[in-house]
Amino acid sequence: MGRVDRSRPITFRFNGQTYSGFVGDTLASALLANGVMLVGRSIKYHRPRGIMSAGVEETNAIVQLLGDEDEPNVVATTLPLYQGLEASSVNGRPDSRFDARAINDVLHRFIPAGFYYKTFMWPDNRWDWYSRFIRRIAGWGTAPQKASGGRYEHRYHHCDVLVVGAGPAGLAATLAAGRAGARVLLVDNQTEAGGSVLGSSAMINSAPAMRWVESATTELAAMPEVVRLTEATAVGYYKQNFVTVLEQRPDRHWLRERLWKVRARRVVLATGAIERPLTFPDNDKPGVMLASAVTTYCFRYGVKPGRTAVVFTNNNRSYRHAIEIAEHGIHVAAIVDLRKSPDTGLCEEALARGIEVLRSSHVVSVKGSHRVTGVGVAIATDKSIREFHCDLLAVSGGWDPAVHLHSQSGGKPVYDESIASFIPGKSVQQERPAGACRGELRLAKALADGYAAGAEAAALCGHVGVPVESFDCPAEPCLGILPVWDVPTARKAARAFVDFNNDVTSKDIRLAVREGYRSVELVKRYTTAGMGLDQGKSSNVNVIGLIAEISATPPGTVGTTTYRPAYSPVSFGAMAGTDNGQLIFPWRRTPITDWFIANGGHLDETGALFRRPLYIAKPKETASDAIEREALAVRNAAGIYDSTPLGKISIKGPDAVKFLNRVYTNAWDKLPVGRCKFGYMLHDDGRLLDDGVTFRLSEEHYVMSTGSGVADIVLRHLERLLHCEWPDLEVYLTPVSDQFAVICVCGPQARLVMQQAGIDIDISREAFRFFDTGFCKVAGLDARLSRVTYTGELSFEIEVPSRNGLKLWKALMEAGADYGITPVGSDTSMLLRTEKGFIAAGLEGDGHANIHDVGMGWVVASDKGDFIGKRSTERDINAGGTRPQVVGLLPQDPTFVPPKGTPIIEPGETCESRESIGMVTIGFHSPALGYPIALAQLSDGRSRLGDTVTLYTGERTVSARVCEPVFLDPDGERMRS
Amino acid sequence: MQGYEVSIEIPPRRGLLDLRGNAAIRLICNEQLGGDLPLAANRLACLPGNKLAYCISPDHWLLQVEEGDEGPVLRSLEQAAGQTFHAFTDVSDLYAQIRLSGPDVREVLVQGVSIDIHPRVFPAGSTARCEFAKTTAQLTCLETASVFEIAVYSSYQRYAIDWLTQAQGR
Repeated sequence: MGRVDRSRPITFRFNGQTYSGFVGDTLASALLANGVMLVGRSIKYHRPRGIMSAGVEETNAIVQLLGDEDEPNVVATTLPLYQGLEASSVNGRPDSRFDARAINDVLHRFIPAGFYYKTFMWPDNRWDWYSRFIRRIAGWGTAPQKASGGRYEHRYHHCDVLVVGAGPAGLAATLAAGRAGARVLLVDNQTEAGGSVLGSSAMINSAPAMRWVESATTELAAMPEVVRLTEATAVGYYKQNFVTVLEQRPDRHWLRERLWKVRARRVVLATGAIERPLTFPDNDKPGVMLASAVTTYCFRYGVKPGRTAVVFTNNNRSYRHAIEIAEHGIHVAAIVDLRKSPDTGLCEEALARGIEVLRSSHVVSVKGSHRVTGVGVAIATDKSIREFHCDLLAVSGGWDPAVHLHSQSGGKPVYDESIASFIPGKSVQQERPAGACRGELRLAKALADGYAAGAEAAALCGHVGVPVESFDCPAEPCLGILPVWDVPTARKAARAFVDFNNDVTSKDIRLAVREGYRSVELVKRYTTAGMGLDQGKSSNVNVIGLIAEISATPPGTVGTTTYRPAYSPVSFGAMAGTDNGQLIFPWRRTPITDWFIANGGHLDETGALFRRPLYIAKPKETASDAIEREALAVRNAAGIYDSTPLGKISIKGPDAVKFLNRVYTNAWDKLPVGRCKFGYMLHDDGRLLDDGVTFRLSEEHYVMSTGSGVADIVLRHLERLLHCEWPDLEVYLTPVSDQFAVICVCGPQARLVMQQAGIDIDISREAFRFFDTGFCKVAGLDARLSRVTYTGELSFEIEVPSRNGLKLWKALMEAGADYGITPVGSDTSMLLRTEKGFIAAGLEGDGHANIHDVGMGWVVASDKGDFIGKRSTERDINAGGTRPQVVGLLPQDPTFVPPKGTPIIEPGETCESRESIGMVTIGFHSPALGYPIALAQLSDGRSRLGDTVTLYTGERTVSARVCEPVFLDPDGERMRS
Repeated sequence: MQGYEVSIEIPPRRGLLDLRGNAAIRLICNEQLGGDLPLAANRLACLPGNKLAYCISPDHWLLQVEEGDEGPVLRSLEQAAGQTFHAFTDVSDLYAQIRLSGPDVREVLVQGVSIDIHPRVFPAGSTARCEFAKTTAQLTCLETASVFEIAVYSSYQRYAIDWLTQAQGR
């Protein structure tokens, strides 16, 4: 009675009806057991469709899961039944029994392949309009309306041997590799091992094959280095033997799906073969089922999909299926064989079971609408038509090895005449197909092949000594297939479906070839054959065979399409894993971040994934009010901001100066200990890479600060130079960005704040000058103090080990309370640097700009040796022309603050004829000045100081005067004070 | 039971030094430390005084010392190294250590660590700089195969703990 557990009943709902099934059923088997064959409608013609297969190749039984497990397009033939499962058909309105859109089937002559391309292309660009209506008619399930409650997980896995498929060959391969001591991962998309023998009466070593399967799985379970996954599909095969495996329902209670990222030294592809349907008129009616699926439902699930069957075939293998079907109590009225001379022994066996064998015959008609009620069979020998009453038509058009993963790995499948299908070609990666996957359909040979493949893979990983194993199975005749790609019919209106998923008929394929599409790739795109949910698992070879037949070309010459991941659908949940919500990015924090959150900081990502406050608003304060308040505090009293995210690289060694001279444009020989200076770092081609201050802490020790967002890039750049270009230099780099918290106190009252905080060194203007750096104690904490600025104000930058960052921040806030100290966000500091005209390497230096463009050509030391970007810099300065150069802009409308990116056009140009001559890089209303200011890149800007240009916002134009890019304190009195 | 049985802890703070130098520097350090810095990459070595040395590359080690010892040890090494080319740096605050222990520790780690941490390949005493949940980490398998430490740059500490907590699945 099958392998379901009849002691554990389950209730479920389908299309609003309640049914019962058992643990071990799939939704499809349970529906069949309840007499439900009609499961939906087809995508284009809305024809009634029934369960066609028993596996992943199913094209018709596509359902929408409802309730908490809301998920579209689930294949009912692979969905294990569970208590409370609720599903519905994805097509069929109002329901699958009556679908109003079946009118398309009546109108089928007017909507053949290519109809969309020809019909909806006029007027130009109206496809979007049409598609609104078409998408309502076509399509499958609907996207879930709420987030999935289940957990989706990713995991990495490494193994010696990955075996894909737990059928006979895969199990044998795993046994061999496991016995050799290799680390093996065995994955299979079924709920239990056995593959093809789950649905057959096959024998291994004189016992039922499933007994051998159970013995093998027991042995494997005892091997600590063998991991076996069920309901796990290898969906993608990428370079370097990287295979992704989608494991479904690892734990029903809390883990919905798990995506394995497997790196295997060797891969054994024991993916089996998929039975393909025959192409004949009305071959899509409910009750037409693959012959192997019928036996699977009988053997594995104990379900009879019908009472009376006719078997329609072109090969020997389905005789065994016909006999097995009969053994299960289904009356087999006849075997309709396209061949003239089937295997004699099988014929005799069938006849002995009372099954009539009709040679050189074919099905010409299928009766019934929502369920097969009979078939008409053309008998070639006497040219007669015989009618058979049946409710099941079991078909077999041959077997297609599942070459998908082989193709994904880079291999090219080749045509094998003996099975009239494609088998894996030469392996490109460390991969070997085995068993039915390489066309070996006979059980004994598949087992032996699998075992050899496993032993070989293990040996190649250094694990040898596999014991010899033999497999004794009853003799099987060869497939003896007669490929017939389109069963002949005299009825002109008859349609034979090639791709059930996308409603593609053999006529569509013929039309495509007639219209000049000979390449299988083009036929596929024109007709959509093979592009449905099943990705052509059951249709690809029939399409290829048909093209070959029409164009009188061998199928091997036509070739296959390129199979691409994923082998079967992968949910978005599985792709995302747990990387969602706050964990979607690895957000970084400084020691002060929590303080900002607690005190009104509006956080955003401000480079290198640091979460920093843009501003720190008081209750009910707007963003612009907060920024203005903070900016005025810095200009008039004292501000404090968190500079921790800046990159920091410790540079040590006797050649450190030489190194700095080579990576920066300016000279570093004369920088004394205890001083720092600004530097510009260039790419080889002269483009600006970074700017920052470097501090000399001792004779051979410097600390370079970099932009937050480029800290890693600069480190890689410098390490590459040391390792590849200048290995002779004695310099070590140590990234120390997160070692220190850096806090800056700035503004005219900054010195008083520092003194109030208990600084233990003399920080008067004379004793501690601008660009000095030195060690001290502040608030009792060991620190390094520097006179550098990003705001143009008197500034003290204090660096402490990060564990002391928050302690220092709070001490400074307390010390500055009487001086109006105000926390400042990054938007405010951006405003302050704009007023001062300080360049931001990521804005004014936008990846294209060179050092002359940003007005910093004077920071190039002409009298020193070579440095990175020197040649390009010298060439650029001589090139002249119209490169964008950084300038200041003063909008003439005092209410207009130009947004970042505003295009600049010549005065007098209209918006329609505009040609941009530059763009605004940043613009603010300056609270200190009382009017708007901006920095911009302007073509040949330095020669246009004093000119008027036009800013174009898309809605209006505003005049702006071009000026020096320094709006406040051009002589730097404030910062040097 | 739902989730994985893993304990996530922040171990007691310790000092950490980054040591760069050639063979001569290694010998000087060995003498000062009273034990050998490991030569095999990605291996740990226990040194006298409850110190732990991580071999990062042929000229690069991390030296873990008791909290508060980083300054004295650094000074003694600096003094011993003299003018020989080297770079010793106190990185005690650069990394945040997170300790994982429990029977399912590998089940949690494999969700974010792309290298092979099977006990055959990554036994006790192994350490590696690797990708960890979209960041970089120094992963170490301590004295037993079920205790690991992950050192992430300290700005990622909260993220790493949040990530590990969700990976725990409880």
